[in-house]
Amino acid sequence: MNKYFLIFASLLFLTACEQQATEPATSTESAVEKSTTVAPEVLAEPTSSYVPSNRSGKVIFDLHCAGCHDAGNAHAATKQLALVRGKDLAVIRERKDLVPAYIKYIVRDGLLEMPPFRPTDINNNELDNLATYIVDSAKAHTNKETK
Amino acid sequence: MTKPLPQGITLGQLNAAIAEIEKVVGKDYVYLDDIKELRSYRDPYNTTNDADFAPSAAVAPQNVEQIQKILAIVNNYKIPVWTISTGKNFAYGGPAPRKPGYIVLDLKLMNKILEVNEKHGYAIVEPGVSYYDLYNYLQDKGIKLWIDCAAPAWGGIVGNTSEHGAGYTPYGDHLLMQCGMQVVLADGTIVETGMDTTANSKTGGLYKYGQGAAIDGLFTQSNFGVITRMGIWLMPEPPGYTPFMITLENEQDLETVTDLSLPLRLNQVIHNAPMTVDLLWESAMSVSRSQYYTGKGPMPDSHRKKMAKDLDLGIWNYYAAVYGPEPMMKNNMELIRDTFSGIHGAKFHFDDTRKGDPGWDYRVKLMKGIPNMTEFSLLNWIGGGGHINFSPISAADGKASMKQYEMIRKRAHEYGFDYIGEFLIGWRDQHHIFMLMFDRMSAEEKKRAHDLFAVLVDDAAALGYGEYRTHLSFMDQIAGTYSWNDNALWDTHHALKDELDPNGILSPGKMGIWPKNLRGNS
Repeated sequence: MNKYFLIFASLLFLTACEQQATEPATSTESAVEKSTTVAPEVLAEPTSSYVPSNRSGKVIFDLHCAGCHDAGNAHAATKQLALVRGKDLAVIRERKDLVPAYIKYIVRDGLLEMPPFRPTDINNNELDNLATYIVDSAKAHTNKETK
Repeated sequence: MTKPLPQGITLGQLNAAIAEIEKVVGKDYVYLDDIKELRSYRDPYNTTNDADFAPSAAVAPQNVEQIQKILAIVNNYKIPVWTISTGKNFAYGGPAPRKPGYIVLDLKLMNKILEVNEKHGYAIVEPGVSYYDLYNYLQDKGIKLWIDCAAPAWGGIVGNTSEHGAGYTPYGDHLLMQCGMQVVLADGTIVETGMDTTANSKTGGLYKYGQGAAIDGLFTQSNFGVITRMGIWLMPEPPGYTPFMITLENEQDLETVTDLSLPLRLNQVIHNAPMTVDLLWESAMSVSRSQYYTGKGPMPDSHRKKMAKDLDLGIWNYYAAVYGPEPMMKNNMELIRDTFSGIHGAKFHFDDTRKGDPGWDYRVKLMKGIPNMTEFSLLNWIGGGGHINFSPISAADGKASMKQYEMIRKRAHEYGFDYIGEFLIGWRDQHHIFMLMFDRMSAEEKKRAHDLFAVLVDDAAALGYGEYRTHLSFMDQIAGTYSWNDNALWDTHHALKDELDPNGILSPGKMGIWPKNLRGNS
């Protein structure tokens, strides 16, 4: 049983190597020609009047982030950050150390307990809005505290 | 990173298909870049490797016509797509596909709330509508209907219902409350189920069955079609609501409380699904394990007892609620008090003493359909975030509950993990959720968790238990336990699969249902 599995797995591996060696990633036309399948007929323009959303940073934060990142003991990420990073770094909207590039990376990639967010949850424009909103909120919080 | 490819598909074929799909939805809605976009389609909490579930691309159609065109393209190339809606099916695989290389068909952008009928109490929604979206919509418009959300509530109606998810209000059996759906079949045919298939239908959201075979269930936990619309019944806001908790001092009290609950549940004295929640689950809403114990292996009893005392919690914590006019609630609460107060050490808790306790607050919200994310605090218990749910069905019976609890706890401890779990009494059964937490940054811990899960599936099957839902990694193993009469049920699934999706393009392997070209390879 194991022997057959190994042979099968090796074949798969070899086939995969061959595919990757002979099929350039960008060559789509030649691949269509080589394919024995027939392309569907109707394929012209996108069939949608869809307008991408451009929700504000606050709207995105409230919808996707606040559940875990708002201040208070009902919010998982805030509690965990308080425990492992200290209470000064617990509340995302009050943190001075976050920069937009880092926020955007973590949103798409996730971090430990936090899963990634897809471009369909938060599109790239909205991600910019969100990062700006978090940084601006932190600045406003700092100003309030220093007054 | 090397592009993951579906079995038997070349990179050239994949790229050709993607180029055609881009023409349908627009380049902006095809996600290919691993770092910037595609990594967000992985399951971060898996017990093996991200590569085991890495898609080759994701595509986000905006309407049914685009879905039809995408399916025509992938049928042509025989490339599998993996359908998701809100993609938050965490602990069971999140948005990730069953095998590497599939294209994720992400329906999140189809997020319209098509109808809300306040008088008759239902909504019709597209797959991208989350529980938060529907809740916010009802609140904004002042519509006096409740939603019944999952916990955590970032998931959506179509996804959770089609996974057979459960909630916490009297409408908690989500599939039971589903009424009518629209499905796109693999060949592009659009099918309406129930009453909406009649001309000029006016009762699609009211009556589930229509005439002939009621086929809605076929499209849940399966891969026979792409659900593009769903009706869901919503509970009218009741005149009153009384949530309560009973803390129980002893492990054995699970038996008593379950047996006492069943008649109250069967006779609708308790209107929602009562939950018996273990100490660690409940504690994780307020504290982390390291605050009480930093040693290896399961938390010792002495530490558990101290934590229970500090947090005023029981070894088991029983939550339920009654709903309705004041006299009715008063009457039911009297019955409930009479029933449970005989358990030695049982203590009732209400809002007046528990408000502000995150464990209590989020249950109070869930039992009235207010979406929240507090339950994600479970991930703080050990930190690191990894989790996978082992979810066997048990009888709503004291001895059966104890037996299942002891089986899982014993194995969990043997593999060095805490038992963290809850029982939720449905109409007759109990969903038993064992939340297996592990550090996702530790390869050793992941493997141990994976091994434990696989053993639990076999242990449960040997005792006659099956799971109601599972993670990508264990779909085949669990499908194998539903094997009575020489796999007659799965043969039926496969016969349907071959008929409805002969090229095997729709979510191959979902819940162990494989198209014929991939059967035996999984």
